[in-house]
Amino acid sequence: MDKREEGTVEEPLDLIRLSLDERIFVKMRQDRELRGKLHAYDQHLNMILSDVEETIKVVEKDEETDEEIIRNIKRNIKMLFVRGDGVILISPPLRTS
Amino acid sequence: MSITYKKDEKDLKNNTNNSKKKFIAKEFQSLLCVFTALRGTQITIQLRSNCEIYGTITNVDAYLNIELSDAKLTNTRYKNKRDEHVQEILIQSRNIRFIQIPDKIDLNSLLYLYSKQLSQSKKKYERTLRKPPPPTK
Repeated sequence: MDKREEGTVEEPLDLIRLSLDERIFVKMRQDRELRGKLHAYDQHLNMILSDVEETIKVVEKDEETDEEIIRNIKRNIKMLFVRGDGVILISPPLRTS
Repeated sequence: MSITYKKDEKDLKNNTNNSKKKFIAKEFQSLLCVFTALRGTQITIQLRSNCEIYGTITNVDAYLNIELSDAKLTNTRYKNKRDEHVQEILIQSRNIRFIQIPDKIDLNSLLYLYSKQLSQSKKKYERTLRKPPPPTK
């Protein structure tokens, strides 16, 4: 009855296995986004990514004109362990060609 | 941190050892073996409160609580504040957002060890599939 093969998809978490060794897009809480190559993950969605580009969206108010300025801070990290409780979604990156 | 677990078949069948069983399964299924090999190296941890800590790992437990020694705390939100120096610090794993792994660590052998442990633990602690709901009469 319990025939489990490595290629089958039985749980939603098994879909992430299809993205191993590929670049993924991770949306985090606190307005953060990560793009990197997925090396390993576990059931908590802790991940090890490499060549990571981290984008932080910051909203600032200009004191004079009272306008909201939306800025994107980008940071490059070579090898990163991401703790899973801040992960909102994981996606293969959109292909625009 | 070594767990001695008696391989008794009667204990495995009993449900009274569930907490011990889950504890061992938690150790195998998380990426803990990557960080137990990182002891003694210097890493950068970014906390959820926008604070970065750079220090030397002295201990990592099963819940990924990390003890650092000779740590430097940098606040990235308010850049006016000075860096603090701490001799010994314990970081609770809930407060960790990122851990930057240094380059000199050979990660491929660690991940191979992780996948080996994962396949071994699948035989012992296989998750029971949910049975389909009974047909409605």
